[in-house]
Amino acid sequence: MSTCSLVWRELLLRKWSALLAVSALGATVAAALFFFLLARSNEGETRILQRDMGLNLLILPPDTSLDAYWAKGLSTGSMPVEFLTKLEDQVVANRLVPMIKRRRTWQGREVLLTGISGEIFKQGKAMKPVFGRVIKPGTLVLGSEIAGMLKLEAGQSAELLGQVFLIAQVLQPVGDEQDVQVFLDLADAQTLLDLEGRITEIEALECHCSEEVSDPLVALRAELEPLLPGAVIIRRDALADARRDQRQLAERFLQSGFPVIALFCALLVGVLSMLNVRDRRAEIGVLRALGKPSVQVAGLFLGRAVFLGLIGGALGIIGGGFLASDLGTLLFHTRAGAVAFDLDLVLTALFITPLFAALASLVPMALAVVQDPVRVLGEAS
Amino acid sequence: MSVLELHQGEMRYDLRGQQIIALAQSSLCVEQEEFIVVRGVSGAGKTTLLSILGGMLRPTQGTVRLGDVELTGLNPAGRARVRQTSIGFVFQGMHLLPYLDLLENTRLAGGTEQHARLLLGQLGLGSRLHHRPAQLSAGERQRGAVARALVHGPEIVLADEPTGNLDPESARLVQSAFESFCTGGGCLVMATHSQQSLPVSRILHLGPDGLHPIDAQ
Repeated sequence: MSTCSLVWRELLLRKWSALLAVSALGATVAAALFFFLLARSNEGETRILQRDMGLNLLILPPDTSLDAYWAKGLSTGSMPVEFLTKLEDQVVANRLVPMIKRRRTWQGREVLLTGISGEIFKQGKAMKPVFGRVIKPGTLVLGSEIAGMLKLEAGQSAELLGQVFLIAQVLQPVGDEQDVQVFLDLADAQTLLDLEGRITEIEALECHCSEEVSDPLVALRAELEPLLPGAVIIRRDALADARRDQRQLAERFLQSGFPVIALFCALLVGVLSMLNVRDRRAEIGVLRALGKPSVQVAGLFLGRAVFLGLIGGALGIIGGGFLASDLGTLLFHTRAGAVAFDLDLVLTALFITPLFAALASLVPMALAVVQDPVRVLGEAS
Repeated sequence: MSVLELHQGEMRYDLRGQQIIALAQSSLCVEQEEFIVVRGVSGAGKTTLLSILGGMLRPTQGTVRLGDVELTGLNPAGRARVRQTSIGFVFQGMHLLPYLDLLENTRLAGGTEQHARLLLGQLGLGSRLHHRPAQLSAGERQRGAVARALVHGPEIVLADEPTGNLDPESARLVQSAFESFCTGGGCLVMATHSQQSLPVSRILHLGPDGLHPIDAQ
């Protein structure tokens, strides 16, 4: 009788025990997958959420008067572009977006000229950009209101402050300041506004991501003040707090929930495997007494573990995927579509689960197989 | 040349600092077609003796030789190979695998299906071939264990209390199967605490001072 046949017959006899082991394995895989999928989808969701919220930190030139800033919506002063490089050695502000903002009259209308560059990452870190606008030199991007008033469309050329630009895009109306903004490349703006080597504000993302900080603004100023002497730092509290809370919610849940559930399930699988081997010590003794090689006897137990691991792994993949797409939307406000499977993940789960189950059986099985059959039978009787 | 020979075998072990003698120094030669009964009270070391003879336990002293192979000189894998081909066991606890039926349990030791069916029929189990151990009585399980010990045509069968759970009729069937095995060229050592008279070649007594012959009835 082949080893596979013996494994199958044993499973049929002890089907409830096998079902329990499969359930424990399935639950382990489902829990692992649930947290992993959520962690991955949450990363994407956080990025989208943050992009939608916008940057929460504003750094203004040293001579900025805040009452004027709030009245006009921009700083009348400027600061050297080198301030950006000074920000490389700190940890609280990242994803830097330098800008120049000035109000000018264009074809009889007051517009907010905004010279902007794409995101600048500290120390050249490669990250997926989500903020800022990359505008090609020599082109303009117009807010919907200003484009409508001046009857300008994408593809047309237009003269701005004596220089001809191509209108690359007209933005959709959003109902805020953006509708009257004229965006252009930062370098173009510096030339056009006679502000070479200068910027008027830096927007950034505050990075007190996971830690609890009692007064984030004090912490921010303490970190940035020595680097940018006199710079005015404004924290958009609602945005920053919402962003931090969202991130902390996910991280706390992932950090504490996953190890507890995975450890519990791993212990359950280990105990069940050990109990199975213990229950079957007499069988091990008989097979050894009948002269069956240790490898064949070990094959019975490892074969069982691998088979149950495969079934448990497959069920766990289905269960984990279902939980992540269903509960994930509830717990983390993740969009259902954001939870995505891939073949690598499925194959990894199907490989690791039988391996894990086999490892849990290995020690008690090895101890039983190497002993004298008489001792094993004696202990089992 | 004897089929099986135990030379000055002894088994001691340490239990919480106390030396326990599981088998006092004993010697035994088993010849072809011999049917030997070993008697002794419970705890005398009968199971230990059979385990040593079958290469399932290595004695702390002495040697065991099966034909021209010294079992005590082999590693566990080597002894397992010898057991698989040359030795049949009937365990006191029967130890049939619960998920196999009687025919499959019998064939677990090897041999052909035809031979397994024949043996089970001789032992009165012809109608129980596809019953699992849980569906059999203790006596039926015991007879199944006897069939398993004989099915692969071993040189020697070692039986530990094989008739302990049997009614007189079943015990007679087992006795008959053992006699057939011995007259067919095999040899058998059976441990029992029963004082019932048996038509055997030799009866030995195992006591605190080892094995001693008793006249066969």
